[in-house]
Amino acid sequence: MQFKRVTEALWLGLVLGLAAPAGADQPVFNEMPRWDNGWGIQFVGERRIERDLMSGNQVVAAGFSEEVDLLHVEGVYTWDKTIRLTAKLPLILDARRELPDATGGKLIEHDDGIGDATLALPLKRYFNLDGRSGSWTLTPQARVPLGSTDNYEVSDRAWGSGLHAGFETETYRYLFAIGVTGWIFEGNTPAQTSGSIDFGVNFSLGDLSGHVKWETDYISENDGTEKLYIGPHVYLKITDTVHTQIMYKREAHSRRNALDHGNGHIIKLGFALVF
Amino acid sequence: MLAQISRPFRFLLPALVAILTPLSTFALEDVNPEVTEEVRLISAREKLSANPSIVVLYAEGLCCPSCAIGVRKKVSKLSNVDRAQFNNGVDLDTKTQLVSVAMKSDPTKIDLPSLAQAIWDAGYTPVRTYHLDAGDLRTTALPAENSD
Repeated sequence: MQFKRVTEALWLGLVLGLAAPAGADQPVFNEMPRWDNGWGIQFVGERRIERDLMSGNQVVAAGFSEEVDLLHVEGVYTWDKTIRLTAKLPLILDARRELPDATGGKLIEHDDGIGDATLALPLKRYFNLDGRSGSWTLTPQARVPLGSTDNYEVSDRAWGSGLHAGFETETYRYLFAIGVTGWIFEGNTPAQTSGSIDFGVNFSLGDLSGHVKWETDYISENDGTEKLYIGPHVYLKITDTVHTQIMYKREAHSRRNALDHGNGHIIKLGFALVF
Repeated sequence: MLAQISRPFRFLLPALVAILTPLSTFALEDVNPEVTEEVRLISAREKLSANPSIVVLYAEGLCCPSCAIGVRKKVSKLSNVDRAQFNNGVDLDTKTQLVSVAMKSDPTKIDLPSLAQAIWDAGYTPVRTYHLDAGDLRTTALPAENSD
C-alpha cells in the first residue's frame, strides 16, 4: 500500500514537473468557490514598478523606470466541484516607461486601455483526510488578444495557449501549494514558463480569518528573460461573501535578454465576492 | 514545442517540482491529525449537551476557515435548519472538523442522506453524525455520495 502511494506520488511529481508550459492564480484567490454551482467575481488592483533599464544581468541605465497600474477584473463559475471556468481581463489604468533618447534625456511612452483576456478551465481533483484537505489541478488556458495600440504595449496582443498543473494542501494550521505553468504564443511573443511555491499559516481574529503565505514565483521566457519574485501574501475572509487580499513581491533575481526594464516589485490589493 | 521552452526552466523547475511534490505529499500525509477521535467525541458530547437542538457531524477535510462557506451555503438550504442560530444555522469547528447544524424541530428526524449530500456538494467527505441517547453518545455513519 505504502509502495503504491510512493509510486503514484512520484509519477504525479514527474508529470507535474514535465508539464512545462505555466502562471497562474485563479479567482477567487485560487480557493473558491469549491462548491457546486458557486460563482464569484474579483477585482485586483496591481501596481508594478521596474526601476532600471537592464540588459542581461546588468543595469545599463539606472533610474529609467517603468510603472504600470492595472485593474484585473476576474470571474469564476464552478458548476461541479471538479470543473471551473474562469475569465480574467486586465484593464491598464496607466502604464508609463522611460527610455533614453538621442540627446541623453528621457523619452516617455504611455499605454492604457484593455489588456489581453485569459480564459481557463481549472480541472480539480480534491482529497479529504482527517485534518487535511487539498487538490490536484490541471488547467488548460487560452490568451485572447484584446490589447489596444499605444506608444508601447504592456499586453502581448497575441493569441496564446497555456497549461497549468498544481498541487495544494491545507491543514488546520498550514497550507502549501506548488505549481508550474507554461504559455506559447503566436508570432514573435516569447514562450513563457513559470513555477511557484507557496507556504502559509492559517489564522483567526475573532470573526475574521485568513492566512499569511510566503510566495516564490520564477518566470522564464525563451528569449532569456528571467524573473524571480518573492514576497508575502495575506488573505482575509471578512464574511462568507466578502474576501480580500494584499500581496507584495520583490524581484529577487532579474535578467533581461534584450534592453528592457527590470529590478522591480509588485503590489496587489484584491477584493472578491463569492456566492 | 519543447524547443520553445526556456533552457533554465527545462531543467531547474521540473526537477524542483518533481522532488518537492512527492515530498510534500508524504510530509503532510504523515502529519498527525489535529485531534484524535477521542477528543472529537468529547467535543461532540459538549456541543450536544449545551444545545440539544443541533445535529453534530464530522466531515473529513473541513480544516480551513473558508471551508465553512460552501458547507453553510449547502446545509442552510435543507428543510428544518434554524438559520437564526449560529451563522445561517451552521457552525464549523475547524480544529475538530465538527459541523453543528441548528434544527427547528427534533434533530433526530433530520434527513441524513440529504445532509450527507449537502456536505458532498460543498466539496467535503461526510463521515458520521453524533447524538445523545439517554446520556450516551452514539454515532451514525453517513451515506456515500449520490452520483446521480
